[in-house]
Amino acid sequence: MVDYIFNQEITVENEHDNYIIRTYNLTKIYNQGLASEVKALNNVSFGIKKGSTISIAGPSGSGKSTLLNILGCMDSATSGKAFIENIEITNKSEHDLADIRKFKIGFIFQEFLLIPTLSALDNVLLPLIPDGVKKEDRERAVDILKQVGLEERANHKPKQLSGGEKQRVAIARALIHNPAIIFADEPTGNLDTKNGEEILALLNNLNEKLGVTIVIVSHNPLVWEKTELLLKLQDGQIVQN
Amino acid sequence: MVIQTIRFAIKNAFRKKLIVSLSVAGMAIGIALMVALSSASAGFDKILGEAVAETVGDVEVQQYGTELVLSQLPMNISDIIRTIESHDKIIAIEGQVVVNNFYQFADNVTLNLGIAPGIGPGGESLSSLALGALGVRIEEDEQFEGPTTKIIDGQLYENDYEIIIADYILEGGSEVFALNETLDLMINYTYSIPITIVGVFETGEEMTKILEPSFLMSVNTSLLINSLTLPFEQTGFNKAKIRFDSESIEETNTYVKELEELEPKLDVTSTGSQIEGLSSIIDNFSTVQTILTIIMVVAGGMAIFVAQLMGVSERMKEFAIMKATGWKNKTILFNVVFESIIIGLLGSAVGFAIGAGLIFGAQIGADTMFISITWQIILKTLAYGLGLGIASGLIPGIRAARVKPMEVIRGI
Repeated sequence: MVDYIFNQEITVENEHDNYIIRTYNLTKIYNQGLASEVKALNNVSFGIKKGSTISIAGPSGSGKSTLLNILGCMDSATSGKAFIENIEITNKSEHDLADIRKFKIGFIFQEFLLIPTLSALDNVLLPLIPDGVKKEDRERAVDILKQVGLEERANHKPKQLSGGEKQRVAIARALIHNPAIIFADEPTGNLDTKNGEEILALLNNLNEKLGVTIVIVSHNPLVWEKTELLLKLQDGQIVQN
Repeated sequence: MVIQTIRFAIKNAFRKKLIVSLSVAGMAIGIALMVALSSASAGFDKILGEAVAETVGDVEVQQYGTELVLSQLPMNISDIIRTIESHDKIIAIEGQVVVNNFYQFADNVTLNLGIAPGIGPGGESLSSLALGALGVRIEEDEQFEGPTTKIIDGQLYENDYEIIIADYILEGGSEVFALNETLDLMINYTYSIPITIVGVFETGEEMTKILEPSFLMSVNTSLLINSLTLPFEQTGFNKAKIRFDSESIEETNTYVKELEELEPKLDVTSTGSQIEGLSSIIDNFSTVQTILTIIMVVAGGMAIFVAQLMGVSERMKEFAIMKATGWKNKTILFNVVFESIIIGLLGSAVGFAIGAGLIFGAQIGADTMFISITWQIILKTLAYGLGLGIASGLIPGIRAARVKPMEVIRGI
């Protein structure tokens, strides 16, 4: 059973070494002070232990994208705090957040988002390009492609791959930095049921083998079933877990 | 690490091959124009510079207030000139008698200099610029290391009605001129006198050779011929050439002032100043060239800018994923700017090749390279490529770097 804590138990002062994600009164208000003001997240506090798999669900406008953006270090909070591996991310500069994204977080998206000019292998290596790709990085990328079952397709361009294969490349790319967390945004949204199940199985397998925490935003009940915890958001608050 | 980023940028730069080709072509046209115009300007500057350097201390004088044909300087003009305060700076003086009749041979001269025909004083067509004929003293010409010191065939004139001629007159095989042949020099279209070609002098390969006299003879011969054609008796030189030991045109001008104070009064012209005056024409040409070049090259740069802006707009999701995987803003900006630099430099290289090819093509068959590609032109080409690459990549780069990953990826 997944180990987690919620609103009433979490405090910002507490030591929560085992909690890879923690939020404390996390609030995000768009267009603050204007007539069009929207409270996308409203005092959200929760903690997720390392190695968990969770789903985040909720209707459109419930705040799940905002939560993913903030936890993925791609947006700032209006108030409250958020921590990734006990590093507060709500007070970091854009530069530091880029480093956290690079070393702590992997992303998987519905649209795969592979670079069409690069081979599958080079797409996996994309996050490493700014720092230089070394021989051992290349070997590691090949190894990861092997883990996702695409060893033979390493030199294929994205247009030569099927949807399921593209998503596997995207997963391999998310793993290249050995991240602590993978955020997956509707990872099965563009796949048929069979491929979708295979991708979920692969994510669960990686979770078991590598201990990587997996957070999936999805409307798909099949996804909810495959994860240990489901967080349901409504009007910027957690309403069910 | 930079190499990886550069390789990545190169791959991306050539994704839209048609658009990139058009951008490169736009840039190349501007650069080709710049190279061609700059090379022409540099070539003429070089020729003028060399001419100024050669003639920096040269001054010509003639009788004050008269035309050259009517000018008569006394036969002892050299002695008079040597009375100036700076006489110790005089290297050489040469009195010259101008003989006009030789223009009648203009049509018989085959010059391969690529110069358009002109009209001589008598209305006859000229196939050269000058075809000047001068009477000079050999000992004075030797001080200038003039034509009399450069005999390559035959000998110097010794007797009356003997002349030496420039080697370029014989180029292409003249039917009229040949060593030891006699020319019939028409006098007033009524009778002729025989002139014997006793020698040929070398003029070198420079284009300025056409400014040198084509026919040289003794002062006595020149006065004899002029006495047959002029309506007055010529007793002196038409002009005198003086060479000063001078480092600059400014220094020469101080000697010019001294010469202007002599008696008899003289019209004094500094040859270097005259040639340098031509450089103002080159300067005007350079200004027009710069304006044209800037317009063309900026138009080329705009092509890159538009292509990059379109490319970046189409690739926003890619930049979003790059950012999501930890690429920093500055790395994305550098990447896009570098793509533009590659296109800019490629445009420059293609433009340089076209421009250089055109100007070298234009000179095929010419004796002298009157257009030159200098290292400044190469640097300018590189600078345009680099500068426009950076300028046209900056705004698309900033747009790419400022992408908000989730908004773009989720299509918000």
